[in-house]
Amino acid sequence: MLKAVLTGVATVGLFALAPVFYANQTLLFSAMMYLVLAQGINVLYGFTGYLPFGYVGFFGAGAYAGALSVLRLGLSPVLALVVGGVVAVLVGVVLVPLLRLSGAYFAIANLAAAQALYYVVSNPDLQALTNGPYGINLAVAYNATASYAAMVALLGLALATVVYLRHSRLGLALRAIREDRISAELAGINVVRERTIAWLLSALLAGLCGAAFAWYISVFYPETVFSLNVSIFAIVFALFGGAATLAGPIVGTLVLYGLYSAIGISQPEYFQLIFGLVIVGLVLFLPDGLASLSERAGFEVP
Amino acid sequence: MSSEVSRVSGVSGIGRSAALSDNAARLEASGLAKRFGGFRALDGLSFRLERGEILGLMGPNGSGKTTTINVVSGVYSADGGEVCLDGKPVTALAPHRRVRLGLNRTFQVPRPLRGLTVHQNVEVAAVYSGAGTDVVAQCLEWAELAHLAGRRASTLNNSQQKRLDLARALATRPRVLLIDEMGAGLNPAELETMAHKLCALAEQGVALVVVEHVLGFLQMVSSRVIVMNAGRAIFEGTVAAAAEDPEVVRVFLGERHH
Ligand SMILES: Nc1ncnc2c1ncn2[C@@H]1O[C@H](COP(=O)(O)OP(=O)(O)O)[C@@H](O)[C@H]1O
Ligand SMILES: [Mg+2]
Repeated sequence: MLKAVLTGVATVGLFALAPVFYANQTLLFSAMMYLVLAQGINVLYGFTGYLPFGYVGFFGAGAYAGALSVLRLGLSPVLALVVGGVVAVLVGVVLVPLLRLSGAYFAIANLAAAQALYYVVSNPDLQALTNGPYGINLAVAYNATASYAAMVALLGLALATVVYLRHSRLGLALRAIREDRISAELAGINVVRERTIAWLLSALLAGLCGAAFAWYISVFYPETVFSLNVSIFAIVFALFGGAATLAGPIVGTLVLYGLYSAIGISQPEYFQLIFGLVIVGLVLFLPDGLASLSERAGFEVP
Repeated sequence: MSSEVSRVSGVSGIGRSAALSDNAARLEASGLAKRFGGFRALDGLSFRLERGEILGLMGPNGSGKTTTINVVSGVYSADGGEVCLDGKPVTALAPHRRVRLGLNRTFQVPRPLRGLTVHQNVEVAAVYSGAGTDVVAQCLEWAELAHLAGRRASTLNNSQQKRLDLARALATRPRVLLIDEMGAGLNPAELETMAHKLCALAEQGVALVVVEHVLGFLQMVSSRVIVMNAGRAIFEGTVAAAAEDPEVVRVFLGERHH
């Protein structure tokens, strides 16, 4: 527990102070964004076993809900973050029936749901509300420092959520469900309820993250915030380091996103392919990521 | 049959509802049916179980014993019939709701939460059933697993996993406990210890259904057995009488000739 809290505090501290030493704030922001999303994936996959390929749907819903509540309702950006989170949770509530599906069926249905959201948002007929395919311009609220700070806070929230899950009775129940649904039910666990909580927590993190992204980036298109790449990146970062741990997704994001930033941005299409293959490889051969190697070597991962 | 008598006297009593609940069995299954495709795994099974009683359930392989436990515990939904706990129907309830009402079971092939420690296996059951963590140490002690509390459940041997299954069930403070083939794989000394432990549970008021192939074990724990064949009860009585019953003998011999 202490090790986990220290890891979390160090990570948040690193990103809070990094802009002082490192000029590329946008890169730092993107890394934090993926860290939050990878931990959001972790909350769901690491603790329930559902792999949400449509995770970006929550992110996009949060980005649009946040941006539109600034543009159309005149809310303050901070309040808009909350709206982004709430709307993503509402989308999660609508999609709760997906949790009845398992494995690949869940992944495909979730992907289709995200795609449907994308079509709704980018529909030219809704231009009056969403500006359709022409995207969002949030220049009125632009504030790089404040939105960066918001993402740092969000990173703290995401890490705290995972620490909580690892050390609370809810986390224990979720792990029990992941181990064996029937045995978990016979321990008295309401499987549907606990799973739904994890699903909505995971949606909340992505929604907040989307709204913070919208605030920081200020100009974006439906393709930007509903890109399947966002799901794939977050999933591969979480799985590579090791789901169900705090440190796994942190390590996964820093290593793989670092690699991607160093050599991949000029050739993103290769990385889509490579990351896709890495996901397949991890699911098949190393489902608990690097963390499991480290635990096999006798070092406990926080 | 005694169940008929008490049902009738319950209805004709003066304070009807009071009489009914007084006479309600701890567990009553009536007309249970379960089909897998066209196959009738349970075909109108009924039985009653009183507080503190141990009922043996016997029958050849495939006769529906495990299915009975699955349907009563809610792991499978019934296609017909009713399960009542203290007179209240639980047939429509999810397994975790039945657990919280005091109904639990073990598995023929034990199903611990393999990635969790022995302690966590019992703890999660104590917490989520509402029994509270006070019972954890006691249940581990009872199942002789206290010295293994920190071990991952996946590292236990079969007999230890069976006892962990039992400890997990006990941690929910069951009033009715359904035990599926505890005896398989235990040596005679372990069998006798287990029989004593189950009898002690019954003395504390827990009602048990014990599915068992080991006749000696059944003789130690239960006065009354039901013999099943093809999803129905074909005999009800003492273990000794069962061994004499021509139909029971035929059913068991028939199995051997397959
Ligand atoms: N989930 C299932 N799907 C299909 N058939 C099943 C299932 N469970 C049990 N059966 C069938 O139901 C019959 C009774 O099985 P079971 O209750 O396990 O028998 P027993 O425990 O008495 O050996 C068997 O023929 C078995 O093959
Ligand atoms: Mg069986």
